[in-house]
Amino acid sequence: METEHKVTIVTLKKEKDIIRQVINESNWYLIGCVLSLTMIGLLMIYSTTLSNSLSYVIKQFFAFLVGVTILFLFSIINYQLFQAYYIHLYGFSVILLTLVLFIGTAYRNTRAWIDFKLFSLQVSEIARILFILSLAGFIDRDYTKNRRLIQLFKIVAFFGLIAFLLILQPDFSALVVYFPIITIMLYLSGVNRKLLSYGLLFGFTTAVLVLIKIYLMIKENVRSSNIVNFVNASLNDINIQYIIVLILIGILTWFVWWILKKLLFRVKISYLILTIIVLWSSYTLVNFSHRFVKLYQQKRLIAFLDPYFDPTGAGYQIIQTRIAIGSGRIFGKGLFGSTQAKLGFVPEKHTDFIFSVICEEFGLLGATIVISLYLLLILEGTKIMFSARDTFGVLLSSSIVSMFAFYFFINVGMCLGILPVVGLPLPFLSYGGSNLVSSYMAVGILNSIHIRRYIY
Amino acid sequence: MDWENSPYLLRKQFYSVLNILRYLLLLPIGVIYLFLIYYQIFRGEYYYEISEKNRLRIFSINAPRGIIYDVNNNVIADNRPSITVFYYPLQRVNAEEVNNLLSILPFARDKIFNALKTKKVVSLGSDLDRQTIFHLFLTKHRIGNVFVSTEFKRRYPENELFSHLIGYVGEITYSEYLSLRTKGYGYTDIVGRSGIEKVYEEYLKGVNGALFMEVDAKGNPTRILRTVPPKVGKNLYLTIDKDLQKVARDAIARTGKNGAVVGVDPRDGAIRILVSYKDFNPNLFVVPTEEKKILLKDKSLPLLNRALQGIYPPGSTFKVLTMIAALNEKKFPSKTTVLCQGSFKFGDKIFKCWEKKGHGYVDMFNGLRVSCNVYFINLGLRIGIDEIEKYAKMFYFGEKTGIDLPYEVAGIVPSRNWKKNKFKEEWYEGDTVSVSIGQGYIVVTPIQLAVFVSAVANRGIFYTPYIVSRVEDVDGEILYTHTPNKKDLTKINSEVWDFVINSMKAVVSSGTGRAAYIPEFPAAGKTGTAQNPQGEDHAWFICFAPAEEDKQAEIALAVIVEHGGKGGSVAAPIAREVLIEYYKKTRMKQITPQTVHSEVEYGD
Repeated sequence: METEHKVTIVTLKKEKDIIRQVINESNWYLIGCVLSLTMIGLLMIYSTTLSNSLSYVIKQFFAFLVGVTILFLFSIINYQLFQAYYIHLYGFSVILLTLVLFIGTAYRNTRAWIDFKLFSLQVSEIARILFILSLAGFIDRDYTKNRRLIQLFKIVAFFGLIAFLLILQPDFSALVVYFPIITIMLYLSGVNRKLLSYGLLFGFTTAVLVLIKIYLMIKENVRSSNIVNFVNASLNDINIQYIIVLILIGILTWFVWWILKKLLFRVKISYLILTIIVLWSSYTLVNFSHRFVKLYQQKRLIAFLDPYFDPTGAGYQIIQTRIAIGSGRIFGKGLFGSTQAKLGFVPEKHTDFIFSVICEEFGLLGATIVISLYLLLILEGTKIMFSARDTFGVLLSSSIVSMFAFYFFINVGMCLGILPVVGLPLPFLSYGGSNLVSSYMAVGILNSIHIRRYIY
Repeated sequence: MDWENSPYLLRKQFYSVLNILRYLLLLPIGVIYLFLIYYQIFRGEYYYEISEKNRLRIFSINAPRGIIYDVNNNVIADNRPSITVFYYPLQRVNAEEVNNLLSILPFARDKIFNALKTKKVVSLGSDLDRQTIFHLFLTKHRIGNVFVSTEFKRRYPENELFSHLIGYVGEITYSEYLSLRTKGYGYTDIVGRSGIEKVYEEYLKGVNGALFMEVDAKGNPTRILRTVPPKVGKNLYLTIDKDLQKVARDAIARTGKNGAVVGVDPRDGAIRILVSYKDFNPNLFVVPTEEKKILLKDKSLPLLNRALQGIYPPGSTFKVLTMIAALNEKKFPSKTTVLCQGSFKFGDKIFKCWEKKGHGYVDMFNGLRVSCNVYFINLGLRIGIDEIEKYAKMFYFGEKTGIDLPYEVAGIVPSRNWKKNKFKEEWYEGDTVSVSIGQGYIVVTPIQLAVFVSAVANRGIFYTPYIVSRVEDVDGEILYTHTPNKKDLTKINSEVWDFVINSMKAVVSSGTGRAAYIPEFPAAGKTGTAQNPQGEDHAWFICFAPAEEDKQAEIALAVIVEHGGKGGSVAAPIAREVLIEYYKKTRMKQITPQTVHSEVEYGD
């Protein structure tokens, strides 16, 4: 505790002429690109809600003003301050998430907002930033301790409480965003990477197998071929097919391992055994998984694979959104010229699916501009990540940048119909004040790291 | 922990992760961009078309059919506005919406389900009453997808009067739609099914307009993008005279029997009257009802156009042709007299003359005047069947007259070959006996006889009958005018015509056709009483008027009353009524009451 206290004092001494530093040293590329994205977002929100009311644009604009203020506030505050108070920040986020369960207002069966009369706050957005700060602070305490397995369990428990509170809301899409944050932090923390990789492999194969299983279950007509029938049977029950598949997995994995060995890679036999066990266990888990997912959720999960299996139900959103994107062609239908979005074929047009409106009204040209701005955001973020002056800065910046990239990939992938529909907004563009403010907060932290890159 | 103080291993651990992360972050952007290029450039046109289809609803605006006028510009077919409800089902079916619709329009059940299946715009019903429409508008916010508009429906203001002539219209069938689609027909269009409506379909049919409406995802119209106004069909001007038609139709109806009246203008073949009784109301066919089925089952065959499709033996009216043949072939001088004792014995068969007492000695003039069967049997036997056949065909019996109406039949002119082909039998002289007085195998249609008598009035000039004199578009531009189709029968001598016309004049003035006599407007005609196996004789009368020296005949008539009895007493009075009406119309004079004929006994 003593050292931490010292660090705080030292930092404060150096921050005398902080305003001048903020103006001179800020990453203006980053801020400019974020501001441009917000402007485009405001324009698109205006375009899509033109027929309803102006209140959407006005609310978003006020959130933007708040966001810019917070950006500069977080630029001024030395990010290193947060490291010392990680436990308080974590406590605060848990309190927020608990509070919302009692006094929050529900919208679409999700109790995620606290109503402040003038505006309502989606607490999970703020809690996520607080979680990033607190987890980074926890990991950065002592890297030698991090090697121990108990530390991994602590981190998992750390996250487990948050996840539990989010599931109680229930807000699964907010939960999804924690995935890139935790993964990148764990890899940086020094926890056994072999273990992490097997965990990832397990998660990935399970997810893919679940999708395959649901797909085969719902699309009965693809089951005409013997191989498909065989796979389907093996995924549904513990039977002879299941055992054959397990044996096949074992043989195949051994074969790959054997070839790698022949190619003179030194791969230990423990890797082979662990891989086989991970694959087997995920295959076995899938056998029981479908009981936890309801039919309509199953349909929504696999609709992106073949939206035409249920074109008026689960696939409708995907088909219509894809039509909206495609119909923009190269130059788009012009500002306010969207038909798919404006006439209600595209759902959630001003929030989650705003990217499809951009594609429809401005075509590939507009999409290219938005993607370029995001590319710039990620590139500048990566630069900050590499130039951060301490490990805490690296932890923060890398998880924030990964978070933005993840948001972008999931949201746009969902619009394009190449990923399942997960209700994630597109930061800076989608309507939603809490998300905008929390995104600006994250950018403020990035900027704060950037400003202090040369200060030792 | 500052990098300054951090151990080398920690720095290595960090940078190895960050270097991988740098590329991992950029990879998704590339993948997304490739997908965007695929969807927006390679599949762009395809998706654009779908997005247009999504938002567009095209409503066809049915073009009103052309109006049909008679010769005096009286309207005999026009259009009336009718309120129609259209339904356009969405991709996503809303069960509540369908239920609401069913509760308001229970009769359109089949159509609604059909529309849900085909996903096409359908009209759920026309001529809806105010209450239903009011109800629809009240619940519109719960139904959506429904579009109320005004359509034009065919109307026949004269109801039965022109039924067979004008025909009727009906909704296009699916197979017709498939074949007519290229000509601009929609699948809810109306097509002519019979009569003028069928023959002049291409003129009467307008060009459908369209309403391009933008709708939102729930199917509610947001705005009208474009309207293409329909082009009205072309107007037809007929040669028919409504007043004459009405007089003729009423006269037949009064007899209580079925029949037909055909009136032709001998000067160019224009049809002035075309009555077929029993008739029907074509308005019933515009909106399909049960009554159509009743009409189809009616034993009096109201849908049969007797003027064109009814085949009857011509009876004594055929004697005019036998006479022309005999005189022109110079085989039987007109001065020759024959003794009529009331019957003619041929082989073991006895042919009776209608006058049981017999006519005594008659020459050719009186033979026609009193319609003596015995005289004409002798005449027929003298000239033979081959000559009769030749002259019958010369006057276009046995073939269609070529009038611009559908379903005309040809009738039969018997001959030796015809009998051989038909019955595998030789021609007997007894058959000739029958044919020479218009009985036996010979059958004609009323229009054939009308055209025949007008050719006699013209002294051998034959015109193809026609009904439509011209077609105009809405701006009055003439698109079609009829040019009379003239055929000369030059083989017949002028003296023959003089004799035949004089004899026919005598039939009306002092013979069997006295019931049609009007001193101011003398006619030349011939009665006929056609025996038939079905029952009582058919009553025939054919005539033309005025039959005066140096005056062109203006109207030629053929009247038949099925099973009416004697032609002179049943058919001739009908002709007289028509002639009086014609006289009144053209001469602007009344017929003086005393000239109305006194009750006389008319034969044949």
